[in-house]
Amino acid sequence: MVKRTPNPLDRTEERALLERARQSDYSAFETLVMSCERRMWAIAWRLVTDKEDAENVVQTGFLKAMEALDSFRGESGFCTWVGRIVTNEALEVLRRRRRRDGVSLDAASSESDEGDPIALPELLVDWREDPSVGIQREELRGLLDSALEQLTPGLRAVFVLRDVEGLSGAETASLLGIAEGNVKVRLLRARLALREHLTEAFGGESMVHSHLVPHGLGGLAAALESVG
Amino acid sequence: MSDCKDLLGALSEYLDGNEQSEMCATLREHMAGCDKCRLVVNTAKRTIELYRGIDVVEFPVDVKERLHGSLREAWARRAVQAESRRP
Ligand SMILES: [Zn+2]
Repeated sequence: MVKRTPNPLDRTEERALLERARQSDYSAFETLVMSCERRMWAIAWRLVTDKEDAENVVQTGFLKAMEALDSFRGESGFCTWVGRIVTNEALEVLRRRRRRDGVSLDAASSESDEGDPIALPELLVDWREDPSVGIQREELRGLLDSALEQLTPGLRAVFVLRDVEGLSGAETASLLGIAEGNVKVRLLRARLALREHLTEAFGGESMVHSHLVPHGLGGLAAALESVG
Repeated sequence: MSDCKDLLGALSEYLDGNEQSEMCATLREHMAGCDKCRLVVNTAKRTIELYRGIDVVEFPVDVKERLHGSLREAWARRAVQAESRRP
């Protein structure tokens, strides 16, 4: 079963802990860190998909938060704030990789947002009632990770920021340095691609292929237009 | 009845909960009579829900230990620096 992390801190508790942390109480800072370290790890891991890089990202993120503790005004929650820092660190890693490998994250060049057709839903079969039942959590993790790894970095980043972190389209666009319309197109692509991968794993015995496909390119163009 | 291809345009909006929009109204109406689109929408929704469950990501114990080690160290360094700045 998939369950959520228990009891996050409420805002009053959080403010009190911040106050104590600013007065050099390490255990208060540690409690704040522990309230969101899992979440930070999830963000970093899903963006960079490499253990060593993700570890560096999370460590640097919390260290920067520590340094900036006095200037944090508390307009957002602590975890949201650290989440931004961690996200930026992770995107920096992706940008460095892009410079190294020539894989695009920001530009529409190598993964065109308008040019290529969106892959239409193909596998039309319902999932088992609860896909997390009957498989080990390890196995579920593996499935989710490997589906995510099959996305290009640009699609993955949009999906993680929008759907895992819950950022708005505008925020995502500005973090990635792309237009909001491209965020929408990429999000749709990513969601559909992941859906296909997971349906392969969670679908029932009889995989049925779509009759959506024969609508062809005219339908695609119309769909893209209405999305963009 | 609209074509299934319209699904794509409205899918993301629908999943984002902008259900009052005209596009979503069309999709909802269509879904009432189309099993396939209902299936795509539902499995896409469950895809997102699965990824939102952060516990599905393993937070390795060794990473956690090193994180806390380095934070504790940095905190101590900070305290020393603050001390030395005092008159
Ligand atoms: Zn349909």
